[in-house]
Amino acid sequence: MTIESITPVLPSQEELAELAAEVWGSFLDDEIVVGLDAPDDSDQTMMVAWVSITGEWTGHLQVLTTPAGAQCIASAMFQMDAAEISPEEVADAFGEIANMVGGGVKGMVGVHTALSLPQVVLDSRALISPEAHQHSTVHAVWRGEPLQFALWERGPKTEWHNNAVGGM
Amino acid sequence: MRIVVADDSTVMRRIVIRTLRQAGYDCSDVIEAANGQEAYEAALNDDPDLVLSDWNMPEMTGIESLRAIREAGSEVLFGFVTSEGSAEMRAEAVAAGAAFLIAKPFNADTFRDVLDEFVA
Repeated sequence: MTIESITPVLPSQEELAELAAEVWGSFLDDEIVVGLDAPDDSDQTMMVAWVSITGEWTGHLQVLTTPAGAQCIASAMFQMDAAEISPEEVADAFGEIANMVGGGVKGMVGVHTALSLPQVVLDSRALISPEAHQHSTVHAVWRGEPLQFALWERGPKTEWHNNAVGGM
Repeated sequence: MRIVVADDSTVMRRIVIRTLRQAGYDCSDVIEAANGQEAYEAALNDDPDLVLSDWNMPEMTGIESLRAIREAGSEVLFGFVTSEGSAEMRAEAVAAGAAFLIAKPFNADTFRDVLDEFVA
């Protein structure tokens, strides 16, 4: 008996951007501006939310934005004033963004995998993804706050990617 | 209509309830559950008309909750609202006794397209 191996298909930058835009359109009733270069203010504190995808393909989907951006996201999703939003609610809403975009990525990969529960960290500069490299990164802006969607793949770079990291 | 909305995310429970209202469904009696265990208990004890559940939750997942509800003899209308909508998961959901699976993100039209078949 021959066992056919199915090759994982990772979303391109454009497809990653479409997944993010779909979440914004549905749950934040707004649009994000994608396709921008990385902002220069790399010293800025950023919050990161991510989910891990594990199985026949393993990687992570991360979303980064400023604390103000994350609070704005939570305010829009809860439909409450930003001043009324607690840090727990910010983490809940921001984590759910990663969960939805990560769920979309998992569906596109096409091999048997499992999705983790979302995790949220206050400062992205402390974040390390061991043995993983970035496959695709999308920079965006929403209400003046920078956003970044990054797809990380665990293990060495392979040949099957749709798209390498580029300056979208 | 009594509805159990199960999701470990508070904001997602709010969005599901808000979307049900926008889609025109009666949400005067909603029970929120933060994991599959709470959904299981509400399904068996509170006599809901519908259970809308996330899949990936701590303590007890949505699919584990559904299997436990069916094993307990309940035939309550059960549907998933989850960030993953692969054919494999849809087949697993149906096999366990789910009526439908709605993938996030969604809107009121999505809810109407799926729920009108099951909810008067």
